[in-house]
Amino acid sequence: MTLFEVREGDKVKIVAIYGGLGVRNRLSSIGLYPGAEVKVIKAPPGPVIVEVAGSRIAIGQGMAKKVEVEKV
Amino acid sequence: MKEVKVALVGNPNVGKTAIMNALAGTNEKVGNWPGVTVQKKTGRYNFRGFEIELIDLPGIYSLTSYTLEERVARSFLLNGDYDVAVNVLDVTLLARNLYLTLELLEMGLRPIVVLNKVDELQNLGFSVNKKELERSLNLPVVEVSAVRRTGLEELSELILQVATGDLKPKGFVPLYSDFLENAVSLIEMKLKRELPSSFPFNLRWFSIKLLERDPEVQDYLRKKFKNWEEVEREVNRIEEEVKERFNCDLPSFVARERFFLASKIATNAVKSSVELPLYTLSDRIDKFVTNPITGIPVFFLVMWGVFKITFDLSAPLSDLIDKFFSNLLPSFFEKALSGAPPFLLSLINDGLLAGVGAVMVFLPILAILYLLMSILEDIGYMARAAALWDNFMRFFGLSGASVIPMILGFGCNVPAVYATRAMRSSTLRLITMLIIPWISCSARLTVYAIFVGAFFKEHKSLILLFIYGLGILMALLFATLISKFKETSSECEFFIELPPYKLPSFNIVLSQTWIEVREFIFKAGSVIFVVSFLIWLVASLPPGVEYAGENSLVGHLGKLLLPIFKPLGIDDWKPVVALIFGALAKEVVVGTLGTLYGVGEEGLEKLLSQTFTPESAIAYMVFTLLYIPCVATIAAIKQESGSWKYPAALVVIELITAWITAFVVYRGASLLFS
Ligand SMILES: Nc1nc2c(ncn2[C@@H]2O[C@H](COP(=O)(O)OP(=O)(O)O)[C@@H](O)[C@H]2O)c(=O)[nH]1
Repeated sequence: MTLFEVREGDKVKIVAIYGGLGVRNRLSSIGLYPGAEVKVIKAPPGPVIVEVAGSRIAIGQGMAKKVEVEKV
Repeated sequence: MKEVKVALVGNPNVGKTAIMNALAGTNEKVGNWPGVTVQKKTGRYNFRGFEIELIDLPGIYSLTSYTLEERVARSFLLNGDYDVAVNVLDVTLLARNLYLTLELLEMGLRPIVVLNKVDELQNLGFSVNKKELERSLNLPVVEVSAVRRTGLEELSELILQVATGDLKPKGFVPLYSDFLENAVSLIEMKLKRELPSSFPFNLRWFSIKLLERDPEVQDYLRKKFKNWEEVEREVNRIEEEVKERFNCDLPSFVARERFFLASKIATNAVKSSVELPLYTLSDRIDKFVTNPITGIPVFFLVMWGVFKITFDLSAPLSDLIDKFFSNLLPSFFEKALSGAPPFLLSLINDGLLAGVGAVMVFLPILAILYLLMSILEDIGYMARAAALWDNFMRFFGLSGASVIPMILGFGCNVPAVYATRAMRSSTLRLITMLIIPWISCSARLTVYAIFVGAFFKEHKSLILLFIYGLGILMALLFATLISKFKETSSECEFFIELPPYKLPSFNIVLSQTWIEVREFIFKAGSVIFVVSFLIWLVASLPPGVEYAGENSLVGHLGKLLLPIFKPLGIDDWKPVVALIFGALAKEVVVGTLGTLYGVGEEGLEKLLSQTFTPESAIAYMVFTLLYIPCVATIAAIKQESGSWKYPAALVVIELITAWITAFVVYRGASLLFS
């Protein structure tokens, strides 16, 4: 399952992030790394909003499809 | 007086600008970092006989060299052209902010740690244990609220103590899990064997960055180290092991370890008296405004409101200023200088006053738009609008944050260029400001209005739709093209932080607006003034000719350029001269045509229908839409991009595109209308 297919209120764990080094570094530095757990505040349509380390992060469709997650 | 240079470093949105404002007031300068389009802000203030200069580094989440902002901040920190480093943290997001602090410590820096927004933390029912944080980081910590203006004196005090050497922060060395520590030591050992005596960096930091596969560090080693390949092999081996044992790639693994440590330190320092804050109302609003179905109407409503307020409020003011500079003062000088040579009078009235007037009429629009934009930014709506449009704009190599400047462009391109300041990514910001001139501003409407009135009475809306659509199409096309060259896909502005909604803090909003208006007057204003003066010069030389008449320099220039316009169906030099004047401001085109044909704007429609054909009229409109941005926009782009290179290239590209498009449209129209 990707972050694009989640539902509101889901708690998910990041399994893998497909993307270049820059993308992965950027996401890890705000707390989105393989193994991190996040809460889904809003699902598509529109951006996915997740709560991570106390802040709300909006992630666009293209990126969300590159983040593999599993439900916890 | 002794000078102290202070580097402010921190995540985006932590309140560095607010702190700078609180300390230095409006004594602030906005510029660019040398050679790049990243914005640089500096502010100065005096404290206890010292002159303290604050240098605001770009807001960054991490210190790895992936984005322009990160590279700028990092190389500044490494080159050490400052006395004190200050790390500003948003205390309500302590764990995430400490991530950067740990990176600074790894680099061997020992910054003063500023916990900003303590007021908000208290509102949320939390308290922070400063002593505990000082102990774990081994750095001086100060609690600040830039909005309430507390803790600022203590901060200045600490800055001085560190600058004078009275206080020497020790700093702790972040230690991670055994596995990572072993890996780091391994790499360190390999590097040490061949270390040049002049190796300028902290070795441990360098090794960690290698494990993170930092591009700049890798390049450095590839060039300087003979056994680089061996090091690389070792890193690859470690990566394999990490993949097997932790199910994670190496760079993410390092980041994760850092995040764990940051969270641990944060949890120890922040005490909560209530449950975790849940911005449930904020979340509900977010669901509404970032869902396209409901969010897009809201967005257009907000933009409509912004335009309505801006134009309703600024129109009477601009008119007043315009009257003052183009009627009141000129007639005053005419009386006061009666008997003086007409040349002198023209110099004052048409040359100098028109130039000053051209700068001043922008002020009401700029000030009001700035104000509204800062308010939207401060309450948090900008970030939502950017999130809403992100998917769509990514299609053209832009980001959601480009939408607001582009929409503002329909009002006036000048504030639109300045509005790109809210964008985080400098590369995307540059692209956005370069495409804004294609968007048809309201000044251009005056030109269309007169031609549509003369030729296309029945198809008014259709023609206008075509022109506006063409502008948008060009903007998006151009964006797609530049982003191919600039490789925006590697830009990391693909997530947007949504700060909780809040009431705007008016002292921040007002002082920012004031600073920006002042910058416009001095930077862009001088360019606008010089160009207006030059245009006056070519219109009134050689002495004695009729202003902008057939025998003036500009008249000759018009005739000289006429052959270029013949293929567009334009057979008279007067419309060409009007275009030259249009460089000042597009609405001047109509006025100039009126003067040149000697009919004023009323009789113009009739006269134009004799000089133009419908085909050449539409070609002329297209040309007006697309050819060079007005001088104020050019000046704004120069000011914001920090280089003449970009506006110069833009002018050339726009001129060529305008001609080609106008030609195609002329031909197409000839086929269609016949
Ligand atoms: N509650 C509170 N908000 C603050 C404080 N300082 C800044 N802010 C808000 O934080 C947001 C970001 O501030 P800004 O100075 O633009 O951050 P920068 O990106 O680091 O320059 C703005 O909305 C400010 O109003 C503070 O001390 N307390």
